[in-house]
Amino acid sequence: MDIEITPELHLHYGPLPVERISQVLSRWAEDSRIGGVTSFAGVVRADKTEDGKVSSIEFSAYQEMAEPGIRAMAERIAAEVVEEHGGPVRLYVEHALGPVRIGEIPIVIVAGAGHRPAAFELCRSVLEALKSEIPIYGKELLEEAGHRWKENR
Amino acid sequence: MSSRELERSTTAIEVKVLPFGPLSELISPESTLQLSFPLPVAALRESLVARFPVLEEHTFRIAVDRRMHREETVITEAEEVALLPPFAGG
Repeated sequence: MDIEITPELHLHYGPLPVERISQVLSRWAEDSRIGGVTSFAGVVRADKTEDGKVSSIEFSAYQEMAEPGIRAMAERIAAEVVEEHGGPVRLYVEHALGPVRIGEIPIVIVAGAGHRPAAFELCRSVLEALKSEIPIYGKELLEEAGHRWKENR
Repeated sequence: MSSRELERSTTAIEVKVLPFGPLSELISPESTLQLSFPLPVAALRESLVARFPVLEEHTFRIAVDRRMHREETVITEAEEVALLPPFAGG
């Protein structure tokens, strides 16, 4: 099989360490079939709203559905990318739960492939699918007081 | 189907209702709903709105036992029904 999805495909309590991307890269370095690795890190932004400035986002999920959902989605998209570009591909997906402050990382995606087109496409497609298909919620806490609920556009 | 089986199949059973995201502030996570199966998802949606009128003002998808279905799909059994407003991951 030309698709390999690393087992660390999960929800993680608290912000993700920035070292996560280099850890994954180091681990994949021994896979001599991989010629390109691309990564995405989401970062909490200090959005200004009419009610105040966002200071952190508290993530929650329907975990019993989100975890198998991320796996099934990732496998589906990896198979599509392999169909179009050929294999191998490797993929790492992790999303934070709980509070994540401005500048901290709630999501990391690392995609590796033989050549760059597959790596870029896998990374982007998995990110877009995660945003639209996986039951994860974000409560944006405002600096002054109160909160609002994040919504993906 | 014997009359006894028929009776059982049309008896309302108690299903857990799990609200997520903004709906978790409006509906108790301990909520339940009495439902009779089989039941199309569209009818399930109507029952949910009748039981929790606040849902009328919200967009939400329904997951039955952790799976989302089309509105016309007929559900034959359920233990939990999740109310899923637009997602916000990433």
